[in-house]
Amino acid sequence: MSVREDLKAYVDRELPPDRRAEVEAAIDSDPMLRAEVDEIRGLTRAVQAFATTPQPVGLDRTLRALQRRPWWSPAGAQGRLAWGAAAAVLIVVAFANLLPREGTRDVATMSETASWSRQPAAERAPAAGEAEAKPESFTGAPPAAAPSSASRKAPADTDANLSRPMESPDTAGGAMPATADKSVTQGATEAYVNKSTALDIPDNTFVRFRVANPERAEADLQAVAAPLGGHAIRNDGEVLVEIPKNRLEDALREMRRVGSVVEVPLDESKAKAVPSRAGTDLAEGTVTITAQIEPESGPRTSEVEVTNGRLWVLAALVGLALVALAGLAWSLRKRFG
Amino acid sequence: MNPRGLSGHILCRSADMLPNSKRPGRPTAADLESIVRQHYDDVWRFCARRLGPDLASDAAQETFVTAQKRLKDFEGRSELRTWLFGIALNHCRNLARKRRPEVPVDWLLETYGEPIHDGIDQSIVDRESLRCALSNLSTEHREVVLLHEIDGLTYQEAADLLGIPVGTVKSRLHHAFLNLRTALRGVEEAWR
Repeated sequence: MSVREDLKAYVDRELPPDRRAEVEAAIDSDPMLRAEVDEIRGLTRAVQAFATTPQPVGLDRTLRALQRRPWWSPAGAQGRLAWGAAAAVLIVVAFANLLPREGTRDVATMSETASWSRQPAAERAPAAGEAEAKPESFTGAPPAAAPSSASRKAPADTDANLSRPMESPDTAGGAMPATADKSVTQGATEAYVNKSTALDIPDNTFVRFRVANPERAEADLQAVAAPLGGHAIRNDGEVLVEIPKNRLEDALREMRRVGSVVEVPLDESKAKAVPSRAGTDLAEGTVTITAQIEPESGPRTSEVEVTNGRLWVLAALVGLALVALAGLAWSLRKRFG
Repeated sequence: MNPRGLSGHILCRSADMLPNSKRPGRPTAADLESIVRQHYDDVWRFCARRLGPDLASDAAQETFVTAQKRLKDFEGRSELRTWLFGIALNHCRNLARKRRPEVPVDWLLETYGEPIHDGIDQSIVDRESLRCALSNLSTEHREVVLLHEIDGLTYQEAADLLGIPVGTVKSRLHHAFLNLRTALRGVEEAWR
């Protein structure tokens, strides 16, 4: 670059020291360059001198504008309030869902295994005398409608009942089949009322059964099955509990008293085929519960499965709440520092 | 008074003037009001020289609103004032596109401020010639003249603000003054 092109930078003292020395030497030896430098310096001063310095206005307006923040801004008072309220609501909702509810587990599990209603509405308002003839109709009808004389005897027309079209208990007009045991259904009736699904009872079903002492599982389950008219036998790591179908609900409930029924299949495809026990005096309508015995210390996966969807929702809510709280804390820290 | 009517090259380091800063050069939102009070005049004048005084208040306000949003991104690698000028320059360009076809240079001859004579005899300087000469500069040349001679930025600061190499700033200034000298040839003898 020629010296002439650096004269403006020389005047502005923007040249590095070595280059400045070169240019200075050139100026000292060349009167024409000196004249140019003087010209540039004069023009520079003129440009700067004629720049007016107008008096600024609008400072207060700008300060006021900076105070106005959108309502959702975390830095504003309203924003903090809104975000704090949102976080509080999320936390309340999350904890309300996390609190254990009475019968939650029964609702979850029994709604999968029970809620069977096979009788048309017209047939589900039997007289008290007819009740004993149709002992195995499970229904979700309210217990208030259940006749006190309901029988627990094995059904005589199970197959016939199974072949009938299923009907939601919601449409049964509150009628309770005569065979429904009040004690059986009372705890789960509310779930049935809200569950209109109707599943077939498989002949065999499979559960994962968690107990503190696996060695005693057979004896414990025998103690459960015997009063219900069934029996239990051990088969490797499983215990087969054979009971009347109409006592399935009782059996599952009683099993929970001696261990944890941690998984109940939703459909028959999960049911495990087991040979029917010869010599039994049970009626045809029986169900074999294959209880896979697990020690109590094993992972409690089933409860997660049962409430899987809900836990995801809860996790999302808790996550949102934490994010909202973190944002709130961050904004407060930034604000007050 | 500073002959340029500005704080010129003598700038406060942002960390020194911002007591709430957690790190040097990193002002926080709590510092905003002091930032506005300290730099509003410079920003307003910066805008006025590019848009005129009528639009300067709007541009300055927009500049600080934007700065409020982006303050967390300011890393302190440049002067806070230079950073604000960068924001202001963008707003000025946007406003100029919307409201004015050309960036005015009439501020040189406006009477809303007090001119600074710096010892130069006003009678021997042709203001109108100077205004015409500046108006005839290309936008790029005029911008570097404004940034360096009037706004008081160094070559490096002007280069950072415009996003161009510092050599380009030097070259543009050289050619801008070459053009000004040519245009003002008739009065240059009087300036000497």
